[in-house]
Amino acid sequence: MRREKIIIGAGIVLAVLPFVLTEYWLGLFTQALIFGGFAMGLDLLVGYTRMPTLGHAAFFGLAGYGTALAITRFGINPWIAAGIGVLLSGGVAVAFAPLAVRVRGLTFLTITLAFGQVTWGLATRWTSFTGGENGIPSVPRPDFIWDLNDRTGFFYLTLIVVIFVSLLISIFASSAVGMSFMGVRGSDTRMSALGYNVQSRRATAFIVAALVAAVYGVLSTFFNKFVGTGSLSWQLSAQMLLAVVVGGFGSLWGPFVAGSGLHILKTLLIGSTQRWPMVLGVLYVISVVFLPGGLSSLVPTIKQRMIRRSKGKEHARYGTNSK
Amino acid sequence: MRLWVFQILNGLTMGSLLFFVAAGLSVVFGLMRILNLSHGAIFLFGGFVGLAVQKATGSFWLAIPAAMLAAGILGFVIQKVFSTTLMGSRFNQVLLTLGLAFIFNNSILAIWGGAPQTIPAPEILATSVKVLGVTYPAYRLFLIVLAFVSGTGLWLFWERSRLGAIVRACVDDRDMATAMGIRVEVVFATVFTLGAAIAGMAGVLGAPVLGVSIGLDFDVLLLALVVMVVGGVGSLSGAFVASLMVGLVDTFGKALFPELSYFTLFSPVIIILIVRPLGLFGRIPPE
Amino acid sequence: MVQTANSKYALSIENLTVQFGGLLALQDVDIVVPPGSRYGILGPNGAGKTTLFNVISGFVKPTKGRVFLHDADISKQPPHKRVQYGLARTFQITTLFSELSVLENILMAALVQSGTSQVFWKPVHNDKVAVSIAESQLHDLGLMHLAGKAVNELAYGEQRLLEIAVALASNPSVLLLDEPTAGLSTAEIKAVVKLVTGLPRDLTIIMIEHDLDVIFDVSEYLSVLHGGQAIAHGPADEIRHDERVKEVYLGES
Repeated sequence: MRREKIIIGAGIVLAVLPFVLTEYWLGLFTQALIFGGFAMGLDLLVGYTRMPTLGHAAFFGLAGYGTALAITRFGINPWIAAGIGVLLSGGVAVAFAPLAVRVRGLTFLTITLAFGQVTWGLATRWTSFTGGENGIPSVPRPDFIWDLNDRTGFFYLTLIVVIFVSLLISIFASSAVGMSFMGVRGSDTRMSALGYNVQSRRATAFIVAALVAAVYGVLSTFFNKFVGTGSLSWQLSAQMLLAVVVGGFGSLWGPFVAGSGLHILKTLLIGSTQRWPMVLGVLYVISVVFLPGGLSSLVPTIKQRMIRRSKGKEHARYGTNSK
Repeated sequence: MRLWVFQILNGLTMGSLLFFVAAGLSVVFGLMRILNLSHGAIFLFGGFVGLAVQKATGSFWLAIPAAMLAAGILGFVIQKVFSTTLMGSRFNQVLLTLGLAFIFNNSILAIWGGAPQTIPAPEILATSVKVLGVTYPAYRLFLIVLAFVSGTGLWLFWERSRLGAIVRACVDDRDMATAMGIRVEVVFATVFTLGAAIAGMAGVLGAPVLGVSIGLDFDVLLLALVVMVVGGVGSLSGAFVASLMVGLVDTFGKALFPELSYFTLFSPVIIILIVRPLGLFGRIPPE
Repeated sequence: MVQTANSKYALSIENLTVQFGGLLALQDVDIVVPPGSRYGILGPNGAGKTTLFNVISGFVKPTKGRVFLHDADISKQPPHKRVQYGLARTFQITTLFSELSVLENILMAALVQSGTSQVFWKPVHNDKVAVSIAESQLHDLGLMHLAGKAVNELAYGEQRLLEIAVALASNPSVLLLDEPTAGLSTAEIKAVVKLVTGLPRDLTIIMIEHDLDVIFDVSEYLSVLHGGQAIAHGPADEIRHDERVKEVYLGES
């Protein structure tokens, strides 16, 4: 339960940000939280289950497009539209996951990449419906008990969603299903010999990561009041994959921090230069060559400390039990 | 009917170019199980080097060896990095090449700028020829013929020559090849360098048709990846057949359903891979 | 789990043939294993022993032939379904989950038995039923002192014991042991033999083993495979003196 307490604690600390940050930085941090949360969800797929994907931006963008289209083309209430967006992504993930998990490794990477390009291609070329390269502007934010058109107001909504989703991910990761993801990564033959349906576990990881991406895709669309093809691009998928790699597989907090940090870095750099791909590439090389365990390997992780603690307890307990 | 012939020829042109890129990618993967995501950037690098040489000398034919040399050197350096670090983790290798792809992409942008450019077709081929009832650019026909000729040549090398037999042995069973005294790392370095050089050549050959521009690296990489997995990794004949298929499907998709073009290309690919995860001609599980 | 009491055989294999490309890995193999017996599979390298286990546990599809577990035809079942029929196996190469603790490794099997492997809304360590199944398994085998250790901290001999413990946590009625003593020291082999001989008698054990002392110590019945064919079956004592078996197998070692 320690990780859950840390999430709530961190959330409370972050709640002071509107009092110390300027409007610009508050907006940047709002987006940073969104991308951090996206990376954390992806960690369940890439880190826990070791299924490297270059296509999960598709679910982020699909949900954003679903929401924006529902509001602007069909005049649906933004809250319901948000639900439609998440359901759209989730539905597509449910349909695609059982097919995608039939292949492994490189083929999986290629299929996810191809899938992402299909969604990107539709958004780019189907101009009459999706607005093409121009995307969909003027997406209104929903009404809420406080004003979401205010930066501070939207920040608090984002913070609440991030805390809530992170708690769900944290509990999910420590559950029987979360542990089975680690089992699938370790040895899928053994997992099936123990009675697990390995394919369905893989598909579950895929769908859960897609749903998390979808929730944040909707938030991102509301924040920007806009959705564009960039939200479906494979560059975004690559950025998120990098966040998991830099953050450290399976640590959850590492990818969150890296996902947030990468977004801040990207925004600051894009303002002045066109060098973002260079930075992204160099970070990939550095993290792979010099930091293969990711950020989370630098700090003695909470998990290790927990193991050590529980080991102490177990020794005490089992010491009286055995012999 | 004319339109159909025209589209088929366009598809074959695209497929021919893809074959040059995908062949190296696929054979390297078969050899070392290394997926080189920077292969598309090498292709584009070759294109820009060729463009520079063509501008300086005015000769298309000089641009080709120059691009091959430059891309080959780049490939040689990349494989050197591989064989000195990271031999252990395949996943990390893929990520490293993805990083390199971004770095190359941005370096090319810094050196040559973002404006799309083109290399004119060599004068001798800058005409049109009447074929199967349509008037078609001679240069594109030359590309198709070149792909078939070099495809056949590569195939003969692959199946009949001693070096080809050595490479095949390494693809099929690396440990066995090592045990037989083949120096796998030398074979790997040679193939990787050659694959890069051929990709660089394709960058120049493709320039009169596709142009040279930032973004083309990723487009071509994606298509070459698809060719590789559809054809089956490590299979030269698979790469050839799949290149033509992908070229044709891509061209027809764009012509018939322009709004759905990515959909018409990738949906069949996803289905093929799900039905035949090893690809059409593949024997190696692409883990 | 399927009732074992009234089946004549715990496991029976009918007419099993496996062909890989041009190679016949197994050819018309018939084996019947009485319930509660200790059954050994002998044979030189490449005789098809591991292929046989892979077919029984569902990882290799036979070219022809059928596999029955307590009279139920499991030939068409995928590996994970066969666990529900009471089948468990160990692997020759240790495939434990090295990043998890010993208890968590066993928990992975126990969760399937407690029916809570689908639970995603609470931490796995709060699953009292599964944890108690896992702990009592460790306790029964005298491995409780290892519970909190990470697998990569274990000695190789301890890993082999854990390998068996994990399979047992699936609560099988038929247990396949694939070379449980391979690579172990004499003292460690003793520990494995002690563990295996101490298992409850209603459990049927089928074992592939290279160490002849171990296999004659443990098994009551034996089948001998050679070149993909079963060349002899019978009580262990008879097989020990069978001339053909001596020729193909014992003579070589």
